[in-house]
Amino acid sequence: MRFLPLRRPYSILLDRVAIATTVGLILFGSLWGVTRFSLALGEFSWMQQAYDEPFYLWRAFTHDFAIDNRLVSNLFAAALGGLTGSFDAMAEVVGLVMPLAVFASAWVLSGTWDRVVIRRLVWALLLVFAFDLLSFSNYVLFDTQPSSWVAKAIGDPRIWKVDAMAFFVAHRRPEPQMGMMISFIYLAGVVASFTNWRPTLYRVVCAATPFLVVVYVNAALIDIIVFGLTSLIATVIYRRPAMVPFALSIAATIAVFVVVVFANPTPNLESAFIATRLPILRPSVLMAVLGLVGLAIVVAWRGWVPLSRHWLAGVFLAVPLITLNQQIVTGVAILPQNWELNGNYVCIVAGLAILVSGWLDEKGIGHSAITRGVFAGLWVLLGALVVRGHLRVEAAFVPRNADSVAYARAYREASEAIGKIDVVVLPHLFDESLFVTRAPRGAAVLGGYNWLILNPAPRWRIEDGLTEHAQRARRNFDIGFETLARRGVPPSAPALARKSARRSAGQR
Amino acid sequence: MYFFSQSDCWPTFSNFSSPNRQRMPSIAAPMETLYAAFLQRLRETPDIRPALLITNEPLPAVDQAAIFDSRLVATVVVRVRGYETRAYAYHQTKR
Repeated sequence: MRFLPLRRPYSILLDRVAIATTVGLILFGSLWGVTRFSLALGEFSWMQQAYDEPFYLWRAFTHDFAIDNRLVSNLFAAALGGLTGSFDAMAEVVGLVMPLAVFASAWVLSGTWDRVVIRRLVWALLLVFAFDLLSFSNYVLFDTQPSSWVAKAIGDPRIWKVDAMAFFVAHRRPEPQMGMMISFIYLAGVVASFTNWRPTLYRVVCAATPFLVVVYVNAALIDIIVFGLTSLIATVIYRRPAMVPFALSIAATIAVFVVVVFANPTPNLESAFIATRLPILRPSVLMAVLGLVGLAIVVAWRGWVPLSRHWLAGVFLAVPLITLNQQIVTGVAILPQNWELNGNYVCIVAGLAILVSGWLDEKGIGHSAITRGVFAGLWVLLGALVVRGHLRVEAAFVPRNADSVAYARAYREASEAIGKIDVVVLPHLFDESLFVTRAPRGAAVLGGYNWLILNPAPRWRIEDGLTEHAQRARRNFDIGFETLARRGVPPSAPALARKSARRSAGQR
Repeated sequence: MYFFSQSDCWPTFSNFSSPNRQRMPSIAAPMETLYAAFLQRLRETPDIRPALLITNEPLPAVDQAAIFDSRLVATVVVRVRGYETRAYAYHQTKR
């Protein structure tokens, strides 16, 4: 049994101040942008602060969703929509509650390997902002993305492509924040049951695993990889009786998955898969390799007798290699960006944190003034980066939000002037998602993003020429051409290309 | 996005090898022909639903060859701190 040193009252007070300040940081991100936006408009108005938020939130609010891997986040948003009766209120309650929930679950996860408050806070913040901090691809933190330098040097996007984002991933509603929150809690169960074998907790984890089918797929698959590898180690290396509950859990998970997929066939599901055997590099892969090499050196130093924390760190550090490069064996890749956003960097943080925390405690310097000072410095640095990032997110998203308010007000004024409006054509493809959340209910948009996502053109068959494809996709062609015609696009290819390029550069 | 599925576009834009990659760049000219045919069909259709067109800039002066008449029915200006945006709403009917 390990005894923590006696703590002085001022130390306890400092810890509480640090926790409260960190919670304040998270709340700041939720409240700052929308408060200023509403004050500027003179009315309460929700504010989009990440790509695609309005599309998914609106679908949840209008109950237009299926039983699939977004079910949990959709149900939560729909329930809040029912309680508040207002889309704006629902969106901002989600924006207030979920980042706090993500942070709280990260706190629980970091508590499975660290009990010192300032260290635990740093690990929790690193877990919450893992992608933003470690991918070197987020405009919120970097003016010029360091990842883009590597991309230019390599010159082949098949191998290295920047996953450019301009918002904090944990603040994006409703996913990936719901997936992150559930994932952190689930992984906390996996880590706690593995580190000091706790059979009851392990069985709880086994029982929970089938429910991951209705959690965002990339986060769920990463959870299952960690669960599977730790179960394998528990069985083979530690001879724990994990095999039967593990096998039952996986069988139940597959059964639930089959039922969900057959009950709700997802249109365009194949678009998420890419047939390739090329290796994929990302910062997470490099970090994973470096981490595993470091781990191997540590284990070699100990005479090749790894402790449970070394196994655990190895599992987490192996995840990016598995998710991004399993296609070398299988020939089928899932969009690399999804793995990066939904868990690869979380696993890097978890692996390194488990190693560092274990080492600090083993050396007996976990509570030293120097260690606390270093972690306090890290905590201040992270806090400053988060505050600065939220200010940049707000500045980046004001224009599209203000535009949509203008469109909705113009729509209302026009309907007062001319009566019923059958359909509206907006300036840009991506304007629809945000517009419909501000316009009167039922406003129909011609050729907008929501319609396109829900009514994708059929796939161009390999044996068809363009004319045959246009015939098969006639509805989409007619909508697309009518939209362009109403915007006054002339019938010349260069003009089409220019318009298309300009619209592609528009905002989601 | 209007004319092709995500599955057709992703491999091209992601630069993963695919047969689509070879044929996509060659579609600009045939698309122009299809669009011109659609506009002609639109001209010949007597009854097309009216629509509300919202733009960020005023439409240019009346184009005699245009298919639609566009009548300005609303103008809105929104200012959020340093950012100002305008929306012009036109009632669009078949000419």
